[in-house]
Amino acid sequence: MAAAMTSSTAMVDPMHYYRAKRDRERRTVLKTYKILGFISSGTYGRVYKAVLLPSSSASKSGSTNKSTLPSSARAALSIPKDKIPSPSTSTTSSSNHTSNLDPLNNPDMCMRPGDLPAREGDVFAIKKFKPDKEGDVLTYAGISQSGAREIMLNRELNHRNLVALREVILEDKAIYMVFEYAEHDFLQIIHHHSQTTRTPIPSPTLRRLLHQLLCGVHFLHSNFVLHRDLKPANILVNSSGVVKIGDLGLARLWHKPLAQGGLFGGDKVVVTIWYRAPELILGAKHYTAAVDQWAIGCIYAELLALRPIFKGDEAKMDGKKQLPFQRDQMGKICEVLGPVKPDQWPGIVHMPEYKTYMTSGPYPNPNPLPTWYQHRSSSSQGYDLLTRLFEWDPARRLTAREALAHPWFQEEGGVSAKSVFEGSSVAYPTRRVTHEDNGDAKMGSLPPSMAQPRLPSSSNFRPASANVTQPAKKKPRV
Amino acid sequence: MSSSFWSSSHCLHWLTTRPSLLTSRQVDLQYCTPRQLYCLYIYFIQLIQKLGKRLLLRQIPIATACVFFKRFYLKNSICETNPYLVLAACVFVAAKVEETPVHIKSVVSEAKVVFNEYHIKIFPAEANKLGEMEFYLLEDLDFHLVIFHPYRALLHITGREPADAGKFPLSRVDEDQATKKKENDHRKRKDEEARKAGLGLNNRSSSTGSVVGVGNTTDKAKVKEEEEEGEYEAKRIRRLMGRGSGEGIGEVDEGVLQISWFILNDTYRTDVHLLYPPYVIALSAVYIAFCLTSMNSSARTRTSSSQLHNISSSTNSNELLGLPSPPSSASEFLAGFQVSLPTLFACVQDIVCLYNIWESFEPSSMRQSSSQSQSQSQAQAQSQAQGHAKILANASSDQPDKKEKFGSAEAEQLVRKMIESRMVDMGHPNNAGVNQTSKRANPISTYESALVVGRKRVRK
Repeated sequence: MAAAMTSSTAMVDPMHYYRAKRDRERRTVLKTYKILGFISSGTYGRVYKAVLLPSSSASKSGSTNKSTLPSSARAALSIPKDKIPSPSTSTTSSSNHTSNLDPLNNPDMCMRPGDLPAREGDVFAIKKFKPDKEGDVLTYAGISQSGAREIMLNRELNHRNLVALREVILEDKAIYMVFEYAEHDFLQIIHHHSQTTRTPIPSPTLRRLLHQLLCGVHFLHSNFVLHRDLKPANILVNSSGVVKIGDLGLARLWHKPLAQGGLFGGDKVVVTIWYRAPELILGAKHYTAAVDQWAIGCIYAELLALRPIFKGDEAKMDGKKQLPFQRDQMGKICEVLGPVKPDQWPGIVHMPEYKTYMTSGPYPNPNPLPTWYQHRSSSSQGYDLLTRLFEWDPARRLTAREALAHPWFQEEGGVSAKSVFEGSSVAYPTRRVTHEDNGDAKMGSLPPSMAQPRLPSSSNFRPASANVTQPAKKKPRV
Repeated sequence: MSSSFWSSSHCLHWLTTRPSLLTSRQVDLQYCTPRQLYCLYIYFIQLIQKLGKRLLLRQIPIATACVFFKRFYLKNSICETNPYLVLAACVFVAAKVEETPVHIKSVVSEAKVVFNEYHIKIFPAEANKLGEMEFYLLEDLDFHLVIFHPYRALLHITGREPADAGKFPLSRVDEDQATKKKENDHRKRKDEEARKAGLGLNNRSSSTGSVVGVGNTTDKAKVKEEEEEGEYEAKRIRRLMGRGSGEGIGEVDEGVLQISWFILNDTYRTDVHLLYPPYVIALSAVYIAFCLTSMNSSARTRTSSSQLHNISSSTNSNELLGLPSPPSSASEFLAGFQVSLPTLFACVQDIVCLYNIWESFEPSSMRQSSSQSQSQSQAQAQSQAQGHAKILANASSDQPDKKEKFGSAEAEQLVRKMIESRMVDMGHPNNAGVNQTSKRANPISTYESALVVGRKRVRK
């Protein structure tokens, strides 16, 4: 009897029905969104620009639906006012068979509690995590720590200055996080001023950018979250001029009982080298929210100067898996701030790398920061804020809360304006989206017939003409 | 939000009611009795703890895994899934969420060892399967991964940890030291001034002190010092109370705190984490711990001298502040919290119900023997930890119904049987579950009556 039992369970997987049910309910990325193009890639995976498709339940036919697309979506899709783009027609008609009551593809009714409601035509950024591969076969090797963190924190936190997560979709062994779309970022704004207009960022804009960044960071810190990777590329600005902090992949909660080794135990290296605080360079095992504040100081300086203030070369890990001392970065900091004086940071003697720091000198002794600053701004309050963010001693460094109360933010009409762009005549370019074959057939933005001849990438790509975009046949959805 | 329970996903989406909890278990209750199902959850939580310990996880990740497991089965049925795979996935995800990640392969290999001990054969020991389960699990958890555990609430309620940690630029200790230093300097300066001014100071200092110093002239200096100390302390308390630290609210002695902590560990075998906010659970644990210590005076540990000092200083400072003195009795202490008493007592009963059933499922004597491999001190700590469980089990068992033996071996068999029967029924949709439901009366009513019986026992 018992033997018969075990043999039958061995034959049929107990998860069979569960899996079937779950797979039936799953809403797929491509049924829900149309990929408009590829934005960027990193070690984590790739980011795509996408538009929310009309809910299949609401659509009686593809054509009536198309005409209800809001103008913003039309612009995003590069749809001429009178033309219906055929690729999207095929997308909707293929999913028309779903019943009218199907809540899964109704964007107003959300997939699960906590999802942000959205309307068709809303534009999103979809971050696809790189799936694990064993040879050529996709496998499940577990969600990465940074993926888990990003899902956990973005799902829990909600703030005006934080990129909102609409939903998470798991499909084909890959994770897709659907974020609100932001047209600009700090890096792009800096780049636009340094390369195109060759003018400094208008000071009201700069002040509001920094203020909103601090608002977001203060929110994170008061929620026990350290960001640990603040840098211009990670700080976005949407088209209505609201700063949105992104990429919580290195962020973590710190109020929970820490594992052995504390913060250091989990991640040996945090913060991109140019924005890394001195206590991290000196090997601190325990650090605080002050590491984010240092990075904000660096970003502030970069907004002023349009180039990184401490642009050191990263020392690579040697063969023995020992973390090298970032001598060059420390040198770059000292070139601007002067070497650390004992009274500026009494605790420095306890830093693990203190001896290395002392012996790897001598570091130059000028303190050009005042002149550096005077070339760029004349506000003495602004200088005061910068020096307090560049405080060597993490305990003395300005906290986000203190920084928000700094009088500099009250200068020149303050920061009450909602949009950072208000009053500025600078027109920033929109985010570059490419349509090249991006190495991921599934996430291609074009129907297969068009994707074949590689199109030149351009930010203002439009479908060449309607007759070319005629799809060969309806693409079966995966 | 991760700083406020009230705006958290835990509070907004994952607190349910008992009726909906019962509804979610309808399918399983077609294949087992309510009591058996209760025991199955004890069994699975046991396995989670075993697996967590083997992976060297601490209590918090283990607790998180338990809550994930319970939440998963709000939407699913044990008999339609492989609970062993689910629980391994819960441990795997919880370890990541609590920042102590373990490799997927070590979860699989350790789970294999633990499950072999229990003769569990249906666990697929493949990383691929576990990874796939992780995806399903995350979806069924709606990707809500931040859990509020009652441990912190317990520490806040008992004044062991400030509720506001991290909200202020300086930690309380640092701020305290900084202020202390400042006040000391100030006092020194004042002393010097006083010395210079000679006898003229008496009137001034008594007006500044918040305590009416009636010391006689012989030890005037000493009294003055105490006065100043008192003034400092008063300011300090006011400042620290202003931060919501809970200091001076009341004193719970170490023994009660310890027992409360152990009770919280046990609560993960019950459903309270799906039904009540963490502070209610913590308060319930304190309530039960108070009851136990008053019932059994030997269980009360001696209050250490440092605590005595704390208690007296807290009393003094409350006096200095013109506040009512901290409650000296347990009832006063508990009454001081603005909590709905029916909710609190419902939670207390849910917790107390556990011990009787647990004892018959897995006698506490056996629990101890299983930990023989541990070191002496650990075993001692464990036996101390289980002292309260014994008391509670005995207290509530006027006549433990031992109609049939139901232990972990039987649990393992039952799980297999449930899955098989369910699969047969699913394969023949026409008579799915019909026989089962007609055999048994309405499962809800039987389960509720079982609970009522349990509660009546508790009242006795």
